[in-house]
Amino acid sequence: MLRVIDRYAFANRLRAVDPAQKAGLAVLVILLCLTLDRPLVGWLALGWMLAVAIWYARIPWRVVIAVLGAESTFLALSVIGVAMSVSFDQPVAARWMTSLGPLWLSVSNESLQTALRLLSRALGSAAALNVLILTTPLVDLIELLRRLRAPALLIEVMTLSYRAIFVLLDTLEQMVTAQTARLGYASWRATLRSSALLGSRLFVVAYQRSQALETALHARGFTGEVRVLPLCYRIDRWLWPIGAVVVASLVVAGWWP
Amino acid sequence: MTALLALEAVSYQFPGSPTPALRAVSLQISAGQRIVVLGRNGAGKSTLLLLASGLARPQQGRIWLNGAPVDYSRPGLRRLRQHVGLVMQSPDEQLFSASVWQDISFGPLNLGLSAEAAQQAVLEAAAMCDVTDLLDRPTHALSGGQKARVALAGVLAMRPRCLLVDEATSGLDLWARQQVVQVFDRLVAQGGTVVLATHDLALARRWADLVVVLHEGQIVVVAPPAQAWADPAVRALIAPPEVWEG
Repeated sequence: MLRVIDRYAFANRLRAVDPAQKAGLAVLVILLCLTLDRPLVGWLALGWMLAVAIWYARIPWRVVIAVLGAESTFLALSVIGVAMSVSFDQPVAARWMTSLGPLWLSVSNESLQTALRLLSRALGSAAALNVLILTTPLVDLIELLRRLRAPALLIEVMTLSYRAIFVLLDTLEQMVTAQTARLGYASWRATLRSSALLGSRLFVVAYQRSQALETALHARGFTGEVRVLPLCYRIDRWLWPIGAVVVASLVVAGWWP
Repeated sequence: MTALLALEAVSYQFPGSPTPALRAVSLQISAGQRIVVLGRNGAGKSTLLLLASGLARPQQGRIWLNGAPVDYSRPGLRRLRQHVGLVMQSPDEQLFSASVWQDISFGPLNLGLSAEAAQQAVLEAAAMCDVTDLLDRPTHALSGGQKARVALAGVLAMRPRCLLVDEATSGLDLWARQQVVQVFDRLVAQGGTVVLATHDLALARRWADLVVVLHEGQIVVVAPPAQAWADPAVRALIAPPEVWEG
């Protein structure tokens, strides 16, 4: 999933758009989802954000749905917990109930509404965040943080971690392939053993790579601060009116009597 | 004529290692040379390049840059890195930034160039290494050959007069290797020097002006390829007999 998100973040119609513009829209939508306490706001935000991702940014709908689906699974589990009550006594006013031995599982109208409100808020916010991460590579978000004067140490750690994730992922894949070729995962016992060896070896490789990276940084004059040139972006003139329509519709949905 | 870089009786032993990696090595590197360093694994090729680039400090002997001893203070090392660049064996160990543009800009900015001058250096190095079309790409999405050229551009953007290359052509296909060699040729045509540590005998024979053969931390011979090849004792140190028969 990480590689898929990263690939589309670098290959969508909004790739070269200033990350501040995209982040601004996403943050506004998230704030409205969280502050306007109506389920309609969340569902509307979800619809708008799917439209922006699929039709405007031209990200394949399967990818957008797959990312949202993964998040929805976690959200659904949380929402079930909110909607359902567990008690030893039989509930008095429940919309639905069933007994499980001495336990009663029930869903009331209030808890269902709370759960739906929570789900709509969370899905609307998640969709807004998805638009941001599917259209904006992490390197642009780091650049945005740099412009927002985030601490240099945070920027450096994010830059190096992002690069290290992919290097280690490649290494991990190569190691798993090498282990599989030698029946490393042929049985449950072998899987356990191979996984343990993989973990310990990956730690050593990560350490060696960090040492080599440090040497390479020094070879290019590193003096304790990672300084690089800023990236260039364009302002998307259609994203302003689109954002205005989205925000206006959410405000109306949230405040209309 | 003063050598661009000179190693004088340089020795180095890694901490914890029972034997020295380099023993009393002396070598003169002049402008415009194509030098290939040959030797078996563990012969001391990478250590030689680490010392020549100032990343390791010799325990004995001295290194001279343009006739002056290398100063290992921060300004001294900055001066050394303006003249001597090192390309690591694995590009993945060198490329640290998520974008090609930012990775190449790292070196020039460390040299104290202004943003405009650094931008110009990035564009020149990218053109020289034929990676201009990759500038807005993420480094993790590059092929092996592209990574090697971007790593090279990251060092060339610092405009070194002497480029030290540690087996950066190994693992590349013949086309990618040729592209990298063309970059070396462009640098030499501009008056630069390339010192390439490699196991590629064909490349050494075809491309080098001078080969340096290392064996167990000592320089055995410094000579043009044809002359080095003519000595059976040297040939035996470079490759097994079957390779020469082929």
